[in-house]
Amino acid sequence: MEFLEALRTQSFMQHALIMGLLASLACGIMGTYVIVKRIVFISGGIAHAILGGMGIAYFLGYHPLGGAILCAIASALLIGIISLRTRQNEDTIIGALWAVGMAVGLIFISRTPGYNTDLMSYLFGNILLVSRNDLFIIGGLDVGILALVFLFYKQFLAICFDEEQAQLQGVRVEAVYLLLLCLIALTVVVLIQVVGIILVIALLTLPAGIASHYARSLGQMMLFATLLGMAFTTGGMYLSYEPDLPTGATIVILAGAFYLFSTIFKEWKIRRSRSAAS
Amino acid sequence: MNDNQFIVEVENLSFRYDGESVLEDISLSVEPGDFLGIVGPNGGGKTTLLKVILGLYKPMAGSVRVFGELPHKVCSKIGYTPQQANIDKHFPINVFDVVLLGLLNESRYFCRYPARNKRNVERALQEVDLYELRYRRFGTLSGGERQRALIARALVGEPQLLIMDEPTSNVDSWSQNQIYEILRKINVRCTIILVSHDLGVVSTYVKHVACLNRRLVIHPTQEFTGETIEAMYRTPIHLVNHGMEI
Repeated sequence: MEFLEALRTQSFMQHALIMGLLASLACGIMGTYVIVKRIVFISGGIAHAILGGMGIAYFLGYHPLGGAILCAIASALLIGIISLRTRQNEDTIIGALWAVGMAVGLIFISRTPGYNTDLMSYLFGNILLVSRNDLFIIGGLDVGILALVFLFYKQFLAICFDEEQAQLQGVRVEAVYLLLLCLIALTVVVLIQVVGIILVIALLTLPAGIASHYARSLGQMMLFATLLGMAFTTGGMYLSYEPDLPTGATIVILAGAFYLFSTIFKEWKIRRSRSAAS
Repeated sequence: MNDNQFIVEVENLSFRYDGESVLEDISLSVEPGDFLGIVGPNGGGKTTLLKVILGLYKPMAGSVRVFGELPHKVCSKIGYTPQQANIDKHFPINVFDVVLLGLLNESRYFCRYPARNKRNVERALQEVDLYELRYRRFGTLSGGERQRALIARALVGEPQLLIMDEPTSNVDSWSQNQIYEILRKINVRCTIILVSHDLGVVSTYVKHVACLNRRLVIHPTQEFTGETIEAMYRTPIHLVNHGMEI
């Protein structure tokens, strides 16, 4: 097979494969929180606002990944604090930051001298351009995310399931929530390498969304979502290789197709058990 | 704690929400061993009052003392069951893990709980007669079973005060009685405050009834008659009828 042959001989293919697996770990774990805490929109806002920071970093000549990490934390804290402090129009404000962040990024990138080839890879990702150096940074982010989730597992569970109860148990709900958003933002940085800012929300929600149909606990949901993410990124690479399709988009369509299939299957099962019961 | 101290002492409490007055000049003392039912119309401020007592909301005027302290300092002595509607039924969690969350203040970091916590959870589940269902997913339980799981979560930390928000909404009448029998047993060792819109059931089990519609009036249960309710509510006829339907 040509795909396997390329994987064996081409280092960029190997990097891409490892990148996909590393990204799946982050998106499986943090995507689970996005789904159960129902913060898809907030996560989308954070993801898009990151482009502002990446654009500024690019303009100033810093490594865009470093700019993305800093900006991810900043936009998570900004959007998190806004969502905690405003009672009204939270979604309007997030929507505004979503678009304004992107606009800032576009302006800075357009003002940067030289070719703007990077813009497309920020927006749509390019898993085939991942360098060995990037892999170490992404691997480090993965380890950091994993360690913090391990440390805060119970508190994250508590604030997702019942915030008031968590507060009564002495959990500093707002601080833990902001930490959760920061970890989601870092996950977005990881995923931008694979599918780009525009499609990031798909990898954050679809594997965990499918996993939520079957998982009986949060830990199980993370495991299922991670495995599904690995299957989708690897499968997407395979499917896109020969026809030379955009890899990120192929991954997302594959994940979306499975999500649709799983939702229909789940609905069918519920209806069948209901009609059997009556 | 000295003998004459009240479990909960609220003085001249007022609370506004978005500029609208929800609670006005509330004073309330709850003695050890009491079983207080707070009834009143929707929007009368019942849940808000509970949340102020729990320390989740800060009073805008007046004071709240629980066990003689500010509420947030004595969280570990208070058990709380929220309205069921606030809890996501699709959340992937089983009954046992829900109850474990009631022990979070003992160990907050990493994934594991100490071994003694497991025994505490088992005992709490037995007390609410839910031990057999401990590995069932929380969302697949019936309304009554879910409520009992929330009671177990509130009890597992061995509180001295149990605060419950609408424990019998979404619960069939057989399960309601089961829940009130459980509460009767718990009341021997634990003071209970519960909020309900369900006048009939409340008055047969509780020791005192407080009527809350922005303002609050307390009655011993035996004095709790149609007139006292009528005197409290702004739209008496509708609410007395509601009471009689039950």
